[in-house]
Amino acid sequence: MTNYHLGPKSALTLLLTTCAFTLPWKIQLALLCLVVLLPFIAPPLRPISPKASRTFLKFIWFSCTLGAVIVFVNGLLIRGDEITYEFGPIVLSTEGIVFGLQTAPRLLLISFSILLLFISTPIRSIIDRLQESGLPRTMVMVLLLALYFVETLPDRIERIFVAQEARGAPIRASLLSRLKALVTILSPLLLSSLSESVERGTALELRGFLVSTLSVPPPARARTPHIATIVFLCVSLLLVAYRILVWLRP
Amino acid sequence: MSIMVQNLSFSYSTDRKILKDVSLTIAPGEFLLIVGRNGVGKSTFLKLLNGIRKPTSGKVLIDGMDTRENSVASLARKICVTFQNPADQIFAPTVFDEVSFAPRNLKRTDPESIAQKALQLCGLEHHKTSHPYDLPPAERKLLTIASAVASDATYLAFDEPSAGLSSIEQNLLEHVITSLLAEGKGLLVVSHDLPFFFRYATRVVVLENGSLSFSGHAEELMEREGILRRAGLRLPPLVRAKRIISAMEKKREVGGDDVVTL
Amino acid sequence: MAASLIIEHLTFQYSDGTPPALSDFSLTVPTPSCCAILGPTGSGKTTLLHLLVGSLMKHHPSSIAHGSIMINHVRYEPAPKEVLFPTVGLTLQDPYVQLSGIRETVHSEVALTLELLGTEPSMIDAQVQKTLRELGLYELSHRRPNTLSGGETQRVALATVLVADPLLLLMDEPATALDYGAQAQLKSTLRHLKEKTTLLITDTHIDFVLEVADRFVVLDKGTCILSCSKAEFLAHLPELGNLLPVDDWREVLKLRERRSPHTERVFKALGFT
Repeated sequence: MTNYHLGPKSALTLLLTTCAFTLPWKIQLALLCLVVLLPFIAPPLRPISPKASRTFLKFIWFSCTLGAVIVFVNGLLIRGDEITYEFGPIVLSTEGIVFGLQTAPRLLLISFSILLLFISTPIRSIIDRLQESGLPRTMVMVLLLALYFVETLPDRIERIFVAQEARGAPIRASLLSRLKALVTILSPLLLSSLSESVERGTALELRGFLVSTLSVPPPARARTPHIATIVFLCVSLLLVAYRILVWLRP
Repeated sequence: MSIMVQNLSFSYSTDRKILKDVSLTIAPGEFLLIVGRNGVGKSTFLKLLNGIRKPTSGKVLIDGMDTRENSVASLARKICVTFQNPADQIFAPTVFDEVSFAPRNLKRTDPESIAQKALQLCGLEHHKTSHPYDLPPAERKLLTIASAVASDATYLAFDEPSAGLSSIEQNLLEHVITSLLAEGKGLLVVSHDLPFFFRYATRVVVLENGSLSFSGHAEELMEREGILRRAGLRLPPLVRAKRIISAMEKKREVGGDDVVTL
Repeated sequence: MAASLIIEHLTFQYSDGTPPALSDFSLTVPTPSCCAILGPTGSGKTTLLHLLVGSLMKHHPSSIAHGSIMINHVRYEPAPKEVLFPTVGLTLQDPYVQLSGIRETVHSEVALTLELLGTEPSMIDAQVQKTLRELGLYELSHRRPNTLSGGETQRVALATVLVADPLLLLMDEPATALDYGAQAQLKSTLRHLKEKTTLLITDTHIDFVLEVADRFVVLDKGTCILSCSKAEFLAHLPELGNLLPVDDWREVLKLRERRSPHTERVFKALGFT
């Protein structure tokens, strides 16, 4: 038996994911526009740090590009009777484009719904919640250490890039040279980060981690679900029910 | 031919200036020791020299090349900056690959033999095929120094190169410094290890609150007690001993008591 | 309370066929006191500390060890196989690694140690505050650990171990990363600490430990070549040139040979007592 209750933000993520599978693409597209605006208008969804908000803005641009690419590639690859656009060897079929338009908002809506949760919630608090739900303390510590590892990785990459540049590698010359550099440093970088994680683990062990058998997880706090959680969950359920009904209709 | 730092100011944000109106020049064959408290901006100063950071105002010219107009990679032919933490710069799968990275990227002629020579100079030849992370920390530090030597740049800048070295590696470092100076390289070292570096430094500058509070010879600096204390510097033991003796003799002359404090 | 430490004929090899990292090492440290373990890179200093705290035998089950270690009247043959924290505490060479990185403030980073030990939650806060006060870190309580200076990080790293009141405290090269001002601060902390705890400090230099330690051990490739009082250590200093950076000190010792009337007082002022 678990004491875990879904928070309102997790429920919203669930709701948006449900929408991505149940609603027509035009509504999804409209919803997507709303979701992009949410961090700016809804205080609980505000990014927790300047870094988080930068990530969000970057992802908006990235998703525009991704969306366009999906539509274009589908248009190009799916053959159909109707041609929307033709230029030399480039032939875009209407069916392909429509399929692309159906797929792209779904993918982006799911991505944004997850991103929304992560930019507005310190990951630590997610892990805290996991601990409250009865996850063993050891697991929680390992998760936190892994998290530290992931959190510091971009900084490490940047520092090694700077060091490579200082020794004559044209890192900033193009995206390709950055990518090439990233590929070459990735495995040594993981190795060095891993060896540091091992040292950090040793240090924790020397401070009593896994030494004592006395440690017990803190008692779980009883929580009543937030009203927003209930609403989001109900709407999700209704959507699924509606979808099933539509599907069952002869 | 020299490094010219002219009225250099730098800040990360508007509220705190890291460097204020710093000017100095370094010629090839010189050894400039930069000292100051932890966090005073010494490391930032090195990053401004090779263009990783750009001046907020003023300018840095490396043999006439303005750091604002040239990329870090192109400045690397002239100046090679080595950072304090080896983990921030070691990335190659073998020691040899690591050392030959700079000469290959900088298109030096015969990068292999340059790398080989640098390894020899730093006493790391026997580790040539080792993985850098199999080296003990002190030798990893020497590896970063060897990598800088192999860049064959006119000016070499190091951030705390003596930190964490035991006497074996310190002797090697002494050897590296004297060889580089004999070759006519310009050296810039950021450190608080005055007892180790004062013998080699042709000039010492003290960075305090973003400006140079002292610029001159090490012997002169050792007379300036206030600056030494504020910069968190320690005198070499022999100098300290001689100071105490002369202070005692002075007290004896005037007939004071024997209590002498450092 | 401080723990007594008696090491007898300790030999340690990481695996069969490798040269011993420690050979036939014996040491008795009186309580409370401070003992310096000196030697160049690879001389076995860190190995010794990890053997004492128990992490080495635990993580290298295929290692080979002989001899015995007695800590606080408990005998381990050849060495403890479980981490002995909080009886024995060890601070690592790199203070940045000592901090877990998973806590938001200095206070909660230090409290983590007690949480890991399963200390009664209502006791934790007071104990952490007391430790922070003792180390002069109280003002930093609410700072984020990754914004501290090198010297501050080193002292917080020490706090994460001291908060559990270890009877035997081992420190691996605590002075390495510090400037002189920060070293002076740490020195005064340790001088205070050695009144009530048994301290073992490693270093590759002598300047720092000279003003803190009462006993000096010099290791070379795992062999103890000197284990003595401060006076004897100073007498042997000129012979240690290939192991420790003593050039400057050699010159200082020459002054002593001149035996001028006030040299003894000079030496006292330099930390030779």
